[in-house]
Amino acid sequence: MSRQILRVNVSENQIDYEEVHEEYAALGGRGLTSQIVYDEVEPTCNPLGPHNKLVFAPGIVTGTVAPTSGRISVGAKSPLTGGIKEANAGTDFAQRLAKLGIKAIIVEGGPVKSGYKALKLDNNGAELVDAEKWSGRGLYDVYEEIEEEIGEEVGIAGVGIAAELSGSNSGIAFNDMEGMPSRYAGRGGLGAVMATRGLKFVFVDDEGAPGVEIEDRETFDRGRKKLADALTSHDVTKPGGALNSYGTGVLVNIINEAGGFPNRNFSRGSDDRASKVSGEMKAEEIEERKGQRPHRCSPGCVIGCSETWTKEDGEDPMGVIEYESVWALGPNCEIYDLDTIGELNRQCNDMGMDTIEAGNTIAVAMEGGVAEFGDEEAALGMMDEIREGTPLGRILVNGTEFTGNAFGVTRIPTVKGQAMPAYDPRAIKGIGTTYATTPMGADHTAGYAIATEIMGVGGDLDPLSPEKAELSRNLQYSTAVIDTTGHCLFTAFAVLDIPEGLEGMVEEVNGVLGADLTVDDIPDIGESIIDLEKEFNKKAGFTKEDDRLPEFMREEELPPHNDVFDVPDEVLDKVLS
Amino acid sequence: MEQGDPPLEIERYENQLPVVGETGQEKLADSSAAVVGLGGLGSPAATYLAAAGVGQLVIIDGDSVDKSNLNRQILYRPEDVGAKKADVAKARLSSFNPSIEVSAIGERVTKGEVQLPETDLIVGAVDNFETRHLLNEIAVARGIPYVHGAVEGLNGVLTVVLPGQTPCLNCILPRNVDRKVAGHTTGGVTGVIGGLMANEGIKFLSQAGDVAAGYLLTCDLGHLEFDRIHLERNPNCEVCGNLF
Amino acid sequence: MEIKVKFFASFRDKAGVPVTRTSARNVQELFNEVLEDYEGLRGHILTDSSSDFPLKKGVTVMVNGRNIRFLDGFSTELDDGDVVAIFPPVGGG
Repeated sequence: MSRQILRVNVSENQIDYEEVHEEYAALGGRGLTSQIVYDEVEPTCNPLGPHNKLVFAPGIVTGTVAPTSGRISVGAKSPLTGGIKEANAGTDFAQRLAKLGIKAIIVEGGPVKSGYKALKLDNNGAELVDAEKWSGRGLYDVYEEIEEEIGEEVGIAGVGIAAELSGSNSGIAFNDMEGMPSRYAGRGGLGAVMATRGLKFVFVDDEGAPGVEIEDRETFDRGRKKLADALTSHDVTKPGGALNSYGTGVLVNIINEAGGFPNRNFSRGSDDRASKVSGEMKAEEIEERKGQRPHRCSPGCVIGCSETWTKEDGEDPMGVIEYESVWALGPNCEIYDLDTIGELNRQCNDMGMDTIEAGNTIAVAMEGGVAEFGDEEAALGMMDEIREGTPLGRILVNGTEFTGNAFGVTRIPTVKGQAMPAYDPRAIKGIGTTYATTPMGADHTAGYAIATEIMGVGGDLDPLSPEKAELSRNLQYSTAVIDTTGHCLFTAFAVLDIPEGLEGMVEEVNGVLGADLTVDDIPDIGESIIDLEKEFNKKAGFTKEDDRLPEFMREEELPPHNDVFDVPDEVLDKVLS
Repeated sequence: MEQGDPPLEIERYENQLPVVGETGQEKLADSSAAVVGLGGLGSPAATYLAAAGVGQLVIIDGDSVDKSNLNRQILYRPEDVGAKKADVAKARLSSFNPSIEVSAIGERVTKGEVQLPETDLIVGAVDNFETRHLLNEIAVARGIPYVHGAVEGLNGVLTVVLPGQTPCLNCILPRNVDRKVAGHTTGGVTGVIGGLMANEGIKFLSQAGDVAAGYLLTCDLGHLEFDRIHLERNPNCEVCGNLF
Repeated sequence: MEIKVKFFASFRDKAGVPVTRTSARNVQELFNEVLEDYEGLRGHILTDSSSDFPLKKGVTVMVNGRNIRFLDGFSTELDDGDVVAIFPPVGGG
């Protein structure tokens, strides 16, 4: 059975299966969501208005036995940035959808503010069912009810209260292996795009599904083996390696030592208290509480960077607390308590919000005088304001820039309206170069220069040196390709260092598509995806002046290195030109 | 066989050739196996794999020989107490069968300290479940068999994980289940289970006979009762669920 | 003169302590002293090579937040109050 595209118009109760056009056949993941958004969405449209569309697409090899490939991309015009957006998550939802033979779901129509529906997919077809009873409620309870109602072996995508409020900080929550809403395509407000189309959930049951067709099994198997060997050998990705043992939180100490760990709304690059929320500390606590570590976001992941965090008594599992979340909801707000951070993260998951955006929002609100830095109760209180939809809550749910502007703050750490992740660009300039230039808004995963600047993967470059155009460009192009294959970005740690691993990844793709790509094609494919995204943004009104970091980062020195972001504008302009 | 390899010593294997066949014997010579853990189970497992002519043996253990090992860890002698197990075992196995290549790694595998070389098979002869899970995960990712064995008192178990065909260790004993065993046993028990583990490896590599796939062989050596417990895979197993 | 040496992630387990102190005058001296005290760490930090930068791949050594690769390598000088941080290969984000 060849793969199909599912087009859903919720407000008109219309579902169509379409053949995949030829020009989409070799695409998946980000390559496909960006292409469809480019082809079908008017760049100047209001992101929450009737002309926006939301696209789900599993990666090219997702749903096969390729290791660490359970990723799904979600794309649309972003209400947060006003530009094109792709966010991806690791979840068995992705694998189930791919196995059903669905290459993409395009959600259109609306806008609506009530009468939410759920799209139910299985091997017999698709239908829209009423989802109103789950509206206005926390997702932890709701996901549990859904599992009880329609079965445990079903993938779930959903949006929460934040999306129902049309918040620009609203993500799409996918189920983890325990069925909890903890795997997020979080960034860019895609949840609000989904909710305004009238869609609250997607349920995917893959029982009896045909599986992903593989054109050339021999090539695929050869590639799979090469990639698996690379992943099981590299110190960062192997079972028992850094990510498997400590999770992404292992970065807290090293980024703090490197002076690039933003504390108190990007005003200091290190703080001794950071050790209280380190990955080592978290791993110890998890062991003591009998949570889970290592843990996987989806079956067949070799790396296993995930975990299950619980309350102090070992109850109320909530899923993973990523490095970025620990930082955003913690030290960036001068909060150095893992339990408080865990509760804030739980609130974000429960209401369907991106943790990076939420933490930055709380920090700028604190800077704006809404509360004192470090006031844990006040931070939790802000979550209640959102849940109750109070006027303050309605400001906060729209993210960092909106909130900063509302309270007269000038230190607003955003690019293209999207808040920065957990690396200060003044101390680690390659990642700053990526923040500035990616079409996504400040996004570390768009070109993860940290790998080279801090970890020495794929080369060694001094984080304080501003010569990072080439590094950022190469990483952005290769990342766009990885996001298209359906492999997790963390496979890059292995394939950047082990050439056979990268070859293997290309061979897997060739095997599935019956294609003839080589490693040398990767930069061109990546470039073509990013060119398309840039073109969309240009048509939406973006200029090169949008590829800049906020003023304060060029002027305020960041302790301890007391440096500013000094990558010249001309250098930023040539990164993706 | 690649050119330049020494010819098979026919006499050494003359009682085994009728069982594994000439092709099987060549396959063994061309094969590689990792034996992780060189204690009670690893001693017989590595010894029999070496004796059978498995061409490349990788042996891994971070411990040193202790007096209390000598009741069952037949690779070591009293004069070895205090020496690294990996070093002693390498010397002994090499002299035992000079036609094979033995490489030794004297470190623990837990927490990813060891780069496990690529082999055709992993034999998990370790004393803790954390490491067993790690080895299972590597084997599943690489698509190679994992021979699982464990002993406690007068009891032992054995199964072979064939990724994508049988349940994996995580299907049957999820990681989050707390399991600690004391490791009190006799050399006879580790000898039986370790010998079975080697034999499963020999069978798989030479393609002579069906391995213990899809069931757990339970060996009650107190009452000499052996049983097979059918194993079901967990369709949502986070380690191997995507292989089915 | 006192230099603070911090171990992270799996190095902390291997050293058995999170922090130690030394009066070494440069990184080479620091390794000579510290690896003598924490012998279990040696094979994880240094290679056997005789190069002038025998650091294992993926291992990061920072002096006051700067990677020694971008300072003077093993000759990087140390002063009273300096903080040296030693990390195994890490990844994430």
